[in-house]
Amino acid sequence: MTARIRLAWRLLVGRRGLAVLALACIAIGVAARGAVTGTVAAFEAHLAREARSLIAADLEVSSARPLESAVRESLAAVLPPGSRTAELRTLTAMAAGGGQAVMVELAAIGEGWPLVGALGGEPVASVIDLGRSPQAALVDPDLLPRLKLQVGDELVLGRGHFRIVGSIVSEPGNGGSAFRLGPKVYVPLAALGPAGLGDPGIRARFHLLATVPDPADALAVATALRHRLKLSEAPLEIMGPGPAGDQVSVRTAGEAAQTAARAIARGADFLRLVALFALGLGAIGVAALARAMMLTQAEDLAVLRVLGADRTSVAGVFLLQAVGLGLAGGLLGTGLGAGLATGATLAMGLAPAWPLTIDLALGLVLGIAAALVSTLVPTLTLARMAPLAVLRGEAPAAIPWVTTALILAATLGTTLILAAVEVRSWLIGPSIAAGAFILAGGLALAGGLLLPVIARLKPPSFALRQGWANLSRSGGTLLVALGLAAALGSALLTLRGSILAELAPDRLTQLPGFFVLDVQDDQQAAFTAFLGERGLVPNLRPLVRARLQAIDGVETKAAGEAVALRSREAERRAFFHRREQNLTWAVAPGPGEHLIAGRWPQAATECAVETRWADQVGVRLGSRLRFDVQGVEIELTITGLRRIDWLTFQPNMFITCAPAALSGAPAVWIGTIPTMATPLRQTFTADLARRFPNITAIDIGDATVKARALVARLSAGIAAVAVVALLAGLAVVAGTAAAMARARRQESALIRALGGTRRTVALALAVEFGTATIVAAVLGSAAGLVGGLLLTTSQMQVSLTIPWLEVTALILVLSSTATGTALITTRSAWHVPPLAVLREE
Amino acid sequence: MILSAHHLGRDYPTPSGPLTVLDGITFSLEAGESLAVVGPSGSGKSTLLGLLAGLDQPSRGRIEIEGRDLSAFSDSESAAFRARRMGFVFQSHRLLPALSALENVRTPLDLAGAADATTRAIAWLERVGLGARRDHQPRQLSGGEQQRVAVARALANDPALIFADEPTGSLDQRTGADLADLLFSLAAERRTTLVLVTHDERVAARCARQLRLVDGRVQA
Repeated sequence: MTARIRLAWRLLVGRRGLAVLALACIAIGVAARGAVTGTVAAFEAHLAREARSLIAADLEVSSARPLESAVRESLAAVLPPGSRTAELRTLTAMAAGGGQAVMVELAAIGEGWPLVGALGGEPVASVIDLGRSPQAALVDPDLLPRLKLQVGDELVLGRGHFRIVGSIVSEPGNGGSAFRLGPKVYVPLAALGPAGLGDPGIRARFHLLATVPDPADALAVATALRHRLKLSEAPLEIMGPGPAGDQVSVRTAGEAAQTAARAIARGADFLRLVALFALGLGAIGVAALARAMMLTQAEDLAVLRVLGADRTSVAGVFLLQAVGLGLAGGLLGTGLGAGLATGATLAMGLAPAWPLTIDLALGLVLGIAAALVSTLVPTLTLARMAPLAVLRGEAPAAIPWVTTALILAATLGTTLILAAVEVRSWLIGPSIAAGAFILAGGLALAGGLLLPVIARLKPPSFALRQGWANLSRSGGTLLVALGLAAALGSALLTLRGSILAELAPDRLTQLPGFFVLDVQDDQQAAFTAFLGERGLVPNLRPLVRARLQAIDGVETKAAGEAVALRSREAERRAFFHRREQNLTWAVAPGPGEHLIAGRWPQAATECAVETRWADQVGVRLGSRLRFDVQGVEIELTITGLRRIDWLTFQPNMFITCAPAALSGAPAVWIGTIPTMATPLRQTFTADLARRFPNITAIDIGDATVKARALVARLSAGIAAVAVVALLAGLAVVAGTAAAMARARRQESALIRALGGTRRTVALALAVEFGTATIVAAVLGSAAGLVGGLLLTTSQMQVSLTIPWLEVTALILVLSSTATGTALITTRSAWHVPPLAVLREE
Repeated sequence: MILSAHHLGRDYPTPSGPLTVLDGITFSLEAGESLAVVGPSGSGKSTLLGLLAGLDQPSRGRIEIEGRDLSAFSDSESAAFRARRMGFVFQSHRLLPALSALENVRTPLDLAGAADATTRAIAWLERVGLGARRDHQPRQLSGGEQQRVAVARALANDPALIFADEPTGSLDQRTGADLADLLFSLAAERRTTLVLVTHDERVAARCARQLRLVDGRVQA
């Protein structure tokens, strides 16, 4: 065995150029995965460390309704001696000052808050002032310039006049949420009532927080409290910033951290898939390099066969090289990934953390597996070779196509499983992976048809003729690898471009000006009149909150608890089952709403639901839904399916009924206000805040700016991993070029011996690689556009907008860098004196 | 009798039907005997060598080595037999370029699982006059030196049989003669049976027997 390892090593060292490229191909994909895993691990470690400060306590009890005395008594009964409690109320409100108004996230803090962590202000004494004065407000520094205010100025919240005592420097966590509807403002809890912000019509969240002497007891206390309150389940918050709805929610700091970690993990799933894509590209490169290594080692290994090595030993020597490359590539990639993750986490101000050992091991295993799978065909070819034929100069005979097909099928199956594991979805991961395989097949087929056509062209220029004639030599592999990289880049660009186009400032003229929330039933007439005085007509929809209890007679709670929540689909379904449902009523479809199947609900027992909601919940036309509408049970049959254009920003709900269905149910109204002229806009929010302090108006222009910024941030993260995939594509190009370097050296030497110049040779190579890379980039980008179209229209329901400039730039950059890479890799073909090559051969 | 071939034949499938490259080859060799296989290009010399070495299967006929039927060997048995009992010398040395001269000579010893591989390989390099060049790579050796390393490699396992395919074909006349001297003297010294394919009449003449092939058949 030692002798075989030594021989494998020496043979590998003898082809170190190819080996280094193969190493790079594997390392890039493993590094991308390691970077994602390491960054997520750092986030999780941070969340675990800072769990208590996420909710500023060990335990939180909250509800959208004031907490009843029974809840408080139950908490008091389960808390061990030495525990402390504090109150907090959170709500959105309009903050006015300087003649303008801005929607803010208001936190009204009771005595003793925060129980964990500290609130920091500038000046430092401002936090003390906040505790002493009932009219003090500590505000987000961003709010001051927006309202043209300074510390010491007056801020109007509801009907209350507050003095800004300072700006926020640091605060305990935001419950694990990264999302904010507006700047944060802290006021004393006692100030809410006098300001009119404690009225029953004001929608707020009521929090009762507690710390226990030993934080490790928090979960036991929470379980005991849930038992007393007859809450059978822990909160399931995978989609939103925190608990919502009227039902009392109990959660520990650890559970809040887990929720936040789960949200991060959901995002990381896709990044891992992109990393897997990069590894797949790398495997294509390794396959090309392995074939080259097989061809260059075939004679040596044939000699070994003659000297007494059997087929298994010969294949073993080659396989040992693959394992060595996979292990080295995996280790290098893991190290690089850890370095990238460390850099990224430090840049985000977090302490780096090492991923779990199992994640590190998986990276290594993936590296080795990629190397082994890529070298399987050449290994079997070597095992079957006839040594004498190889020693006579013949290439080893190809293995039967059935074996190749079986290897491909096994590779496909393994990749689909890996993709499912990486995305934690048996639907999304395998679908995307299968799409990539189909695309690879399509690119290979297109290459197989197109490249021979180009190769048959006989232009007068020798360089063109020679370059195109050689296209079939390496074009196939190069086309698939670079085409896949281009497809990924183009699809991401299209997706990003389409979403940004939907949120573009010039679209604002087609959108409403404001989105309004929490218009009470009894305010509807006055609110409409208030707008009418300003020449504005609102589009209001009633909103009735309910819980989904059963689907076709099957309790959803039981179904939700039964799922292990191991997959995205299970998580989403459980979430959609358990979340608070928003119902509305209407006699006909509203703006941006289309009935696409069935009929509009007419009877009190009928409803129409949004198609994607129906998919998530697992219902269809004719399904029966039983809701608990604030204590009253109603059963509705689905008679229609609706598609809603959410990006019109028009108010709508997943479930709409006939008006009779929700007759008498307590409703609030939400809606939109048309865009308005600037002079009116400047005073509108301030007037609205004065007249209706409980109504929240979200400026859609501001919201789209925030959404654009969010999309830009998210796409930057994905782009970073996608760049790795492009690098993997370039590594494959280098590998493909290197794989044929020997043949090119011979051919170039011959051309130069026959009178060609170095320039002629370089030009012919540039034509060959340039044509192949441009064809690959164009075909791949076109496929990416189709993928982008499918994603935008079917999954995201936004219109396709092709960012032509960026896609063209992608094609040019990718093809030129790939051509440059290939030329550098094959420089020996046009640099080395021809005589040296001819003598050597 | 160490080696015997009985009515040996080899066909290759072609689109227009089987192509016979060897037919009716029968001969036998005693230990220490030498046989030159001669004939024009394409007469089937190398094919015969491949069959005798167990690297290819005959279409008909039988080969016996040391009384054992070669066709009954599995691939691994055949490989193990080659490693222990056969040595090879090729026309163009066929040294493994990534390995040093010593490592090349060691290779068949390693494959046969010899415990004292390094010592024996060094001894054989010294026997062929290349003890001082043992750490050199093949590209650092001249053509004659490379072929001497190949001879040392062929003899390293103390084989019963040596197959040599045009061993002097790539060397100039003087170096070729030196190499032939070396090969014949070492084979005689160890009573090793020598089967060599050659175009060189002088080398062929040094063998005890000659087998002349024409169009795949033995010419009387």
